[in-house]
Amino acid sequence: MRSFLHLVSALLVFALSAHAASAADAHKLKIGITLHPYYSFVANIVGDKADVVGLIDSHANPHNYTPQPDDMKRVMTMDVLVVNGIGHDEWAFDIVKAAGREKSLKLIYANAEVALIPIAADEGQAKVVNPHTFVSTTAAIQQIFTIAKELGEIDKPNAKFYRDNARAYAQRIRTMKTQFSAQLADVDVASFRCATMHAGYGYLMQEFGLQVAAVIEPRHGVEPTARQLAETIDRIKAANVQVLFAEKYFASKLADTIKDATGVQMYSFSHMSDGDYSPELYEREMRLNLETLVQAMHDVSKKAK
Amino acid sequence: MIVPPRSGKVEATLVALTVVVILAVGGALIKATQVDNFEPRLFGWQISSFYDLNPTDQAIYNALVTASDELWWIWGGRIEFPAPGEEDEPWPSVDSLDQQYNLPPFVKDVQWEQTGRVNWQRIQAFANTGNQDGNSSYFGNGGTVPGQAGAYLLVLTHIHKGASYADGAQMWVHKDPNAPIPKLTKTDSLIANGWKEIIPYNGAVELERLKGIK
Repeated sequence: MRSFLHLVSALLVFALSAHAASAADAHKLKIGITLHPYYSFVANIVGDKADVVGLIDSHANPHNYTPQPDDMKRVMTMDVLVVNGIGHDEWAFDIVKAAGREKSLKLIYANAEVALIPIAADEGQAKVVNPHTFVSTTAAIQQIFTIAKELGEIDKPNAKFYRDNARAYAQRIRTMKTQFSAQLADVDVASFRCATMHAGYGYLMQEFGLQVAAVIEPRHGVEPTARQLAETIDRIKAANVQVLFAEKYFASKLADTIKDATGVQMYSFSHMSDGDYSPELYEREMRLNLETLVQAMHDVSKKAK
Repeated sequence: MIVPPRSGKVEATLVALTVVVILAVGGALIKATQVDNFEPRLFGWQISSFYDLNPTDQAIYNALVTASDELWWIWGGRIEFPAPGEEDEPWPSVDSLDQQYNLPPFVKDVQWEQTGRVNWQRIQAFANTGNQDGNSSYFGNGGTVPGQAGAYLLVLTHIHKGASYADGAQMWVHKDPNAPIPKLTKTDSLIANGWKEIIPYNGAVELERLKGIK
């Protein structure tokens, strides 16, 4: 009899915990994201407490993206959507509107608390906000914190879990940056001068106390006019720029033209908007960018000696 | 029967009218859709993080914004589960922010070197008492980059929201890199001593400008 009671109790406990687990699954938030880094940010914050899905196909180019029918289907199943909101994913608003979810879908504006900076090297012109806040460490951490706080408001029982994960993730990112920073101890950082093909790297440079002397493309994927190019080449020469950072995964003949005209050394950064969505993508691509930056600075330093 | 001479008068008039209509409609559409160069309205003691800070000051300011979140969370953790020695010191020292947390702008890395080697110190830490009023402040001065403000102040204070509190943070700059430690960190005192409050230009402000979303 006693063993029978034990068996019944065990079965009851098993049934209750199975029910609790399935109830938790049933209430799992489905969180949409617009850009690759946001997948990594959200996945590291929520762990197994929520599902993360891309709004658009992971291999689509988020620059000048045209919404597809499948995007509408995906957005219909989401509880929350995390957006850049300041110019890098305007198509997301079209998708939400087309799906009729303007009022029923909670949007988290990842950049709400990020202190914005202008696109570099546009002195003399009206200041334009640089929306590439995710290609960075500190601005990325600010977005991670904002997302964690907002998710904690939506899903209060897991608020502490989200916040603790966000802090641990932020600490990993800061430690990674500190490790690369330490490799520059014997480099004359103050005399390093660079230009970039694309305006996406201003925040990253800021976090190393560097400034971009010139940006080649007036907008992403838009080649400069002959006059703009000539002016940029003059600026690169005048500023004694040593390095041009082009974009990994986007070959450009223009970069070769500038290299030939100015003698700058070429390196490539990741824009973090290509490949499969994954929790590791942001850290992997940021590590590559930091390695590239440190390598470029070491090479310039060696050349100067 | 009188045949009128061939003339382009009617066509010319219609073309001219069409051009006028196109210009009028185009002009109206441009006027309706263009975004003015938006600059926030500020008081005399305030400056914009986007329009008024130079790149060096922006780098320090942006780091302070993110640091303020982390500082409040460190404080909350130490209040809730203090490690030995933390009961009386819930606000971390600058050394701890540098060594333990690698937290910009306090961590002595390349960014710190390049943004003027600012000397940071914790100058106030409000007590862990029931009402939790008062300010906790981190002060930095001695910035060496030409053109940078040179002295900075981060004030962490609880903001009363009805019956509850919210964690708040204000950042200030002083144009004198050798500005002394402020005796008081209340707004009126800082203004009287030449400090300027930095008003954030963040994604929320940009969203309001672009889409009218508040």
